[in-house]
Amino acid sequence: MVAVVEPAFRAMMAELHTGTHILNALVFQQFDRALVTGAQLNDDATARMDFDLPDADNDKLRALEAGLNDLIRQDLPLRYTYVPLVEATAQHGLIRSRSVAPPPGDDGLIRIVEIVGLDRQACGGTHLASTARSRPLRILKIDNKGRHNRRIRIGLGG
Amino acid sequence: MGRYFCHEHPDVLSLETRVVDARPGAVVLEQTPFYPGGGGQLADAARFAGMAARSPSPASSPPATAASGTSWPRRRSQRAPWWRWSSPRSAR
Repeated sequence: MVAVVEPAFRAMMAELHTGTHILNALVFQQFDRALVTGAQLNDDATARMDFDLPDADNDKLRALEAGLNDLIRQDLPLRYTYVPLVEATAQHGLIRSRSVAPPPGDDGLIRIVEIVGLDRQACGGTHLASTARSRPLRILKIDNKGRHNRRIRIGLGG
Repeated sequence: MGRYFCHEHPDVLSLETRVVDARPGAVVLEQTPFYPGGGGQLADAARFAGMAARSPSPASSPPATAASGTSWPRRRSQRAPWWRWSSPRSAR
């Protein structure tokens, strides 16, 4: 039999997943290396990311939208490497999630996704081959979720 | 997180494979092109084509990968095996 992946849905997930990496790269770089506390891609071309950001100014977070789209336009390529888990945990931010880490494969290595010139982090998802294959992103909403967590919702399309 | 087929072949969305086990509503494939879900990303939607899809088809027929007229069940029952796995500290 032939197993067939729905192309449009996979493409949208790859687009959103690439967008969430660009967003969390900017948050990491501009907000004191803040880590991710949760993420969810949705089937309506939106996604949310939660960050450990107790003191962030929501207006500054909203202003990341221009940077997101600038990085999309720069058409940065994505690359994949595999590193030992010990090496990954030793470098702050390579495992970007605050509380969980992807388990290694049978070979003891974990997959690192690099947006060349911008960011490296452990991830097992699917992404675009380069950033300009994404539609523009909008920051739709920012919510405070408890003392530490800030939730940023993004959406594809102008 | 093992190395998924979709990691090595992100552009291959149609894969001829073999059913190695089955129960009502589910099959186990020898090899799968599907992303299983995880890390906040939803699982791929899947469709299966039988023997007919492997036969040469007239030019007017849609290819095996065409989604036209097909409903795509979403395989999202499985949650991230690797996203939930363990904390970086305990993994050391």
